This record gives sequence, structure tokens and C-alpha cells, in this order.
Amino acid sequence: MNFNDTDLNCIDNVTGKEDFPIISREIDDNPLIYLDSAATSLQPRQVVSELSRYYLEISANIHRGKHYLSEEASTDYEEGRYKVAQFIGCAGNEIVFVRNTTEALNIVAGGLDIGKEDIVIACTDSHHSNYLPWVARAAVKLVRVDAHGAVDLDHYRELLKLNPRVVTLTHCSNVSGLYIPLEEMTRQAKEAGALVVIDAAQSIPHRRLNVGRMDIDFLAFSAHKMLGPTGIGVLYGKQSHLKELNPLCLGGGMVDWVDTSSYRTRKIPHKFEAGTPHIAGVYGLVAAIRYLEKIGFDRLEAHDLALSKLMFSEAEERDYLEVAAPGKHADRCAILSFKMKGNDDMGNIARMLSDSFGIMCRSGHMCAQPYVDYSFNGDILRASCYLYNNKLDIMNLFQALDQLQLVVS
Amino acid sequence: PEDIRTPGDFSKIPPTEKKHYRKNFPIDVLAKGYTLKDDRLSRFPSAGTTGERLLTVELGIIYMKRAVDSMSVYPLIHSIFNSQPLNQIRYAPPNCSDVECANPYSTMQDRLLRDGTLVLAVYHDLLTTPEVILEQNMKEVEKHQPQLYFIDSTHLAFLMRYMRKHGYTPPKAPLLASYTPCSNVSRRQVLENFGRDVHFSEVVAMSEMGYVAMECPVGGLHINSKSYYLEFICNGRPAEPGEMAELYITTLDNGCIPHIRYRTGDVYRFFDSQCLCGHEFPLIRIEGRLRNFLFRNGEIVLTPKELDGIVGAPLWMDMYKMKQADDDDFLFNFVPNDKYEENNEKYIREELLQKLGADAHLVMEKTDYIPTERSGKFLACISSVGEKIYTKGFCL
Repeated sequence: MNFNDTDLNCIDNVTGKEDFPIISREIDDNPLIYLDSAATSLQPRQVVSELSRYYLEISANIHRGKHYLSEEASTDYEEGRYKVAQFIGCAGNEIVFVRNTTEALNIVAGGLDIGKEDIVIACTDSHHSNYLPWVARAAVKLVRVDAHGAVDLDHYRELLKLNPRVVTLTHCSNVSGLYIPLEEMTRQAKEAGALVVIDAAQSIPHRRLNVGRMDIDFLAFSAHKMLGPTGIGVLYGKQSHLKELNPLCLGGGMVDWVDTSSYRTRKIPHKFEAGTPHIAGVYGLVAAIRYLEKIGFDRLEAHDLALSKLMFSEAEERDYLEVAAPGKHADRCAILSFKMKGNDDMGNIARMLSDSFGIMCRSGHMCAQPYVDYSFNGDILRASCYLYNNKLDIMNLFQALDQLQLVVS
Repeated sequence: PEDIRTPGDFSKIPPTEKKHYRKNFPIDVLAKGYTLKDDRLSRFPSAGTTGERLLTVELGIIYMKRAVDSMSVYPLIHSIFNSQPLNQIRYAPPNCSDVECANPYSTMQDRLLRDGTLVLAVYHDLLTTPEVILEQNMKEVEKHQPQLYFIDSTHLAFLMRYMRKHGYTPPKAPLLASYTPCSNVSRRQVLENFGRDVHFSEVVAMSEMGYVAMECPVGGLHINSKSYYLEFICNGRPAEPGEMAELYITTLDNGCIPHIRYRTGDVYRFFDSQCLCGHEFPLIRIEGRLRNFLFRNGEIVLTPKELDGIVGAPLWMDMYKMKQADDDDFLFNFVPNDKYEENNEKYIREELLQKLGADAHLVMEKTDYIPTERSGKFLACISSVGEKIYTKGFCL
């Protein structure tokens, strides 16, 4: 990979097109611009190649046989676990492979012995995956956000006085792109005696996190937002907590002993991985982490911040846009959610951006309906960037919006 | 054949490799007259640390003889080893042990072998071994009162750290360090706990051979030239003293699986000087496994042994691991302890860059966790470049 020096370009065009062939696609003669990475990132050849390698050259199941291929697959799978552990600063047996962030958070919420008498503090802009598992089981209190979308830390401190059992935080909002002050909020939650759960789905593609240094109890993220394949995600849990957590799913591969009346589960993390897992997904996830590490997280973060500033500067210059969490100086990633004033059908705008301009954006409630309804009273449109996006992509988006607003607002 | 009469003739025989013994097991590697049902045979599975697993069977007595011959370089340990009964402690990667010792539910009785060896429980991924097992290890060591420790030095150093934290000094007894190369950092920690005067000997062993070499009381590593016919091969010819060379072994003791010009994949230097201890076995220095060497542009730039020499045994470090991911891409992870001060590692970085080349992308990272290989072994130096080069048939 060759990289140039400006923060607005993380990888050069040649590398981009080589590694991400989708970028070269055209939609009715318009070059494709992918601005939906907060939903799912593109996958580079290196990741797809590892998936293929597994299916074409190995293909065997893990931990279930003595033959050569099974051994090879098992070794690669477990080394993948070590790789992820080193990536976030924990031990290998603190990593559970799951389908995605949603499953990870459900395992935590469902595995803790909590009930409606227990208070759980969550963020107002939580994704449904970090809201519904708690609402279904406990008394959830939401931390307010201010006019700029930032978390209200005074309100947070007030809520902590309620003696919450769990504080579940969204490190980076998938709607506003705002980061919370994670270290500070984690420390305060720990001081209040709460378990700290982090949804890092949006942050981990851009920022290196070290769970050990921050005393985080559980953390969840998905591979498909960080160049990896769909269907594979990660739950980190401190050893002591994972040992106490009840597995939601029972079956093959997670037991040491079974007789006609009882069973004994395997040690962590295997007791959470019943049935055949997404083995190829782990190969892909490891390749994705390697790709990101090769670029370097300093570079990724700088690029993300630069694109974020550009998007918000451009948005501020357009009074026909109503932006989520306005303010270009906030600590946020390159996610811009907005409405076009006087137009309620943002799904229609998304369709026109796609079909007439080749720009792929997301529309809807972003799986954060309480927050989006509260802020916008309806659908919004979201543009989100990743390492393959550059200034030109952003400028094309705004030029397209400028043209559309003349006929739709 | 009749035309093999001299060492020169012998060297014309094509070397054998691990894959030959794997592929042809058992039918074509068992000597005439043996079957797998023979009660005298023991199984010696290779952990497959390198991805090349292998099952060897051999007469137990043959492995014992090779061990005893090798131990002749350390008379005190030799005599203890021969005494019966012998309370021995084994603390090593689980795949190298003969019992399911990683199981947290196992009892001391489950792990007590017939010959008096107590195998201590440990997780495959060493640093994830929970305190409850370390506590159990500590109590069992005290109860068993070993006369000999047979250990992996990285593993024992890990246990030593726990024991030290809890103010426990284990019973003093000679230590045989095997399974993986003994790093300076691990050796320092073990000696700190037992005292510098403890008898400590590094053993080079292979699952398919048993003991190959052993360290004498004055620190010389001697290779067993009694049980084996040894060849040090460099560029297809016998190496000169001091030259880096791959070891080829031919077994001489009529085992049930004879090895002929067996490429070990391990690189040594042998010396023709006499050791101060006076033993006649040749002196060697093990550089490491060829597939673990660090390469730049197809050339060897650093061996695991040379790397260990650069790192040394700093008081502020508990563990380290170097990983080469690509030709110019190196990651040096280390676990600091409470004596660490900012930039302590600077000298290592500078020396490494001299060897690796100033343009190498070398990341030095502090961490409190370094995983073991899946086999349970901890290798302080691994290289995906070396692995590829070796797999393609690179020979010294």
C-alpha cells in the first residue's frame, strides 16, 4: 500500500481501486461513491482473499477432529482470537466470537442476572442493539444530550447516584458520529460500582481502544464495520465476569461433560461459542485488523477527523440542511446525519442520490429511533465515510444535494 | 547399500524430513518386526508448534538411554535422574505433557504419573492461566517437594512471578529447562527465585528423538554424539566450526523408527574447542529454528538466539516476543514489570534497527499480554517471512 501525506486521503486512488474493486463500479455511468460505511464498510481484496482461502483450501470445522485440516483451521481460529485480544489489549480467553455487536450485547444483558428492579444507564442515542436488550430486562435510564448532541455529563452524574447495576455506553453514536468522553465516563461509572459495557461498533474502525487500561468490563464490536466480513463480531469480557456470565446458547462445542441429567460447560471463552461458528469470518476479521494496522490508527483517526470537519463545514454553509448534533469542532467521526428542510421523505432523497449521482447513503431511523424521532421527528439521511473516501467524495455529495434541494425542498 | 562406507558416501544419501515420517507412518517407518501393538513402545506426539505435527513411537528404553547419555554432561543431575523414587515436577505447555493438565477440574492425583512426576496444571495460553490454578500449583509444589524440576523456562518464570508476589519460595532442586529455547529474561527470573547457585541446565530435545543436547555445569551446551551420528550442513556441505549450519541426525541405537539424515530444521554452530567441564561431547550453540529466523530481502538478518542476545536479561522486563509479519514489518512486544522506566527499551530498538536495517518498520509495544502459540509453547521470535522461505525449501 502507498499512502500520501494529506489527512483527507488515507489511501491513494490507485491503492483504493486495487484493494477495493467496488470503488471502480459505475451506476448508470456515474462513478460509485460509497458513503454508508457506518452501516457496513467495504471489504478489501486482502479480506476476501482470506475468506476464499479458508473455503477453498481449508474448509474444515474447528475443535472437532484430529485430521490435518481440522487442526489447521483450529490453530488459525484460535490465533485469530489472540490477534483480536492483542488488538484491544486483553487476554485471549477474554475474547468471544459472536455474530455481531447485537449478539454480543444480548449475551451480556441476557447472561447477567438482572431484573426490572435493576437500574441500567444507557445513552439517549444508543443503537437499538444497546437499548432493547436492556429495556427488555431492566429499568433503563437514558442520559440526556444537549442541543449539540453531546452527552449531558451533569445528568449522567445524577443518574449514577441511583446506584445503577450496569452503565452501557455508546462510544460513538451511529447517528451523530459524536464520541463520548469514554475514559471519564467509565471511571465515574466504576466509582459508582456499576458494570461498564461499551458498544464500540462505530468507534473501533477508527480508534485504537485498550480495554485493560480503561477498566472496561464488556465491549462489543462487529467486523463488518472495520473492513471485515458480515456475520462475525467480538465480545470482550473480563475473565472474572465471563466466568460468571450465563451462556444464552447451549449445544456442541461448549461443554466438557454431558450425561443424561447434567452437563458441565467448558472454560471461557468456549462456553459462549456453541455450535459451528463463522470460521471463515475469523480469517476475514484477522485480515481486516492487519490491513488497518498496516495503515496505522494514527493515520486512520486523523483522516476520519479531517473528513468529519470537512463534512460539517460544508453542511453549515447550507441552510437547507438540518444537521444532527451540529458543531464542526466536536469530537466526532465522519458521520453526518441530516434532513433537508421542508422534505420529509429522506428515503426518496437517498434513492435519488444513489440512482442519479451514484452516491450510496443510508436513510431511515438508523436503528436509533427514540433519538432520531426526538431530534428530527422522522426519517433522516446519513453519510458516513471510511478510509477509502476522500475530499472529492464529500464535495460530490454536497454538489448533488445542492442540485436536489432546488427541486425537492 | 554396500557403497556407503565413508562419511562422504553417507552424505550422498538424500536427507529425510518430518513430512516423510508423517506421510509414511506407520507402515514405512517402523523397523522390521515392530507393530504398534508392541507394549514396549511409547507414543511421542509432536505439538505441531510449527504447523507440522508428527506422531512418533519408540521403545521407551531408547528415549531413556538417549536422555541418560545426554545427561552425562551434568553428573549431579545425571545421578539424581537415576535415583528412585524421584519426585519430579513437570511444568510445561499442556500439549507436551502426558495428561489433560489444562483441565481446571483435574486433581493432583489425576496428574501424578507412575514414575513420581507431578504435572502441574496450566492453560494452553499461558498468561490466561487463572489465579486459582496458580494457587493450586503453588500448594502442589510445596506438597510434592520435588527433587527435580523439568520445566519450560517461560512457564516457570510466569509461575515464579506469582510465587514471588505471594512471598513463596519453592523447594530448591535442580532444574532442567526444555520444550522451548530458554530466554535470558526467563532464566534470570527463575534464578532470582531459586538462587544463583541452583543447578540449572538447558536441554535441547525433540519429540521425535528425545534428548539431543544438554548444558553442562559451566554453561556449555553439549550435543549427544553417542546416541546419534551428527552432521552440521551448510550450503549442502559439512560446516566449518563456528559456522551456522542445519543439524542432520542419524540415530545409532536400533530404535523402532530409525532416522536417517533427518533434517531437524534447527540451526546450530558447533565448536571444536574443549569445554572447561572436560566432557567429550561437542560444544554447540543453538541459533533456533530456521523457520523462525528474521529475513530481509531473502537474507537472514537475525536468529532467535541473536535476538535474545540483544534483548539480554533486563530487570525491567518479564517477557518479550518479536514477530515479523512482512519483509519490512516487525513488532516487538514486551511485558514490563514495576522496575520499568520510560524508554528503557531504547537500546533494544537501536540495536535491532542496526540488524534489521534502518528502513525497517519496527514497532515496540508494551503490553501485559502476549499469547502463546496454539500448541501452548511460547516462542519469543516468529516470522511469517521465515516460515514462507523455509516452506519453499530454503536450506542453509
